[in-house]
Amino acid sequence: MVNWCKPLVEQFKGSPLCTAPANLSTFFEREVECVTDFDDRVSLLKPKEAQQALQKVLLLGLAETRVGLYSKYHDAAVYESGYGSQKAIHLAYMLVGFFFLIPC
Amino acid sequence: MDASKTGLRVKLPVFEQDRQQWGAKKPWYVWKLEQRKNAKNTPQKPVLKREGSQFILDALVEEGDRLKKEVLNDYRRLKVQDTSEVDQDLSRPWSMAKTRATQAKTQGVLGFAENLEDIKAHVEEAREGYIRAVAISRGPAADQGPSSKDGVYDKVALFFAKRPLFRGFVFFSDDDVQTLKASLASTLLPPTFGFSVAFRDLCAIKARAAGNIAITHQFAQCITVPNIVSRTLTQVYTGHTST
Repeated sequence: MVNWCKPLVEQFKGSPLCTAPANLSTFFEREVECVTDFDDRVSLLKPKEAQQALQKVLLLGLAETRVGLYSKYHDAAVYESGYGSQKAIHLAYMLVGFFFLIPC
Repeated sequence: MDASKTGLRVKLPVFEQDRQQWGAKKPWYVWKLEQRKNAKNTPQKPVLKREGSQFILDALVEEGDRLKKEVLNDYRRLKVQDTSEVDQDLSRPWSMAKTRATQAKTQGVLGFAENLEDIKAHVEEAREGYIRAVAISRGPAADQGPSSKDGVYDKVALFFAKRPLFRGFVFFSDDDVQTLKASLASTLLPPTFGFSVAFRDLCAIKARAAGNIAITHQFAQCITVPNIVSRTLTQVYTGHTST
């Protein structure tokens, strides 16, 4: 979307970048399994167990019931202390920070 | 919480800490919107206190609330105005009959007034049935389909269409009784009652009051002449004139 509204655009001031908390990575634990590792593991299983393992990986997102919680927490922190507060920044990075932590 | 995509999971103690701090509290605008959706069952969760200036979403919800109240008040006002005004054309047959009956009563003729009382009792009974039918049709529809909902209204209309039980000699013709029932029904609440049970009679009263000319069904059909009839008539006419 491009906004050409002069009164809005002229008054606009960008905010400084909120950097991620230094200890962000300590809040997470990793459980990453590469496709080749998964293949190796599953190839040793019996057909029924292999099928269940595959289903578990494919349907994991359906069983996740806590989706959206950090978004709500972030809303609450923003409401109480503002977007620029440390609490809100912490929760914002908890929400989206995964992407910064994933090695390319 | 995109663990399934990223392989990263929030550590349980961190999550629990965040949940304890933020999980139970809600911004005022969230609480307000939930309350509006489900007024009775909204838990009284503690609402967060806002530091400093008013939050933009609070202001928008407040403004939305204000506009809602304003529009609903306007709607109620217009609705009351609308329903409080009884159509004079529709109520006239009944009010005139009542006036005549009162005059007759003063002359010692009670029959007209009694007839009107019997008609009124019949219409009132039909109205009570209509109110019950409305309640049924708006009630839980677990074991009833649309046909049974129509059925309760049909029963009311059938009862209304019956001849009232008169206690003595009837001074009015059957057509007059129909018109008087319809006219009285149009003055009663709810305003939908009259047209639900006596649509045709009320339309006839209105048409007469507007000075329209009653036409027969056959004549009405001729007003819109189907193409095939038009062609046939034209052929007949041209054939007739050519011979």
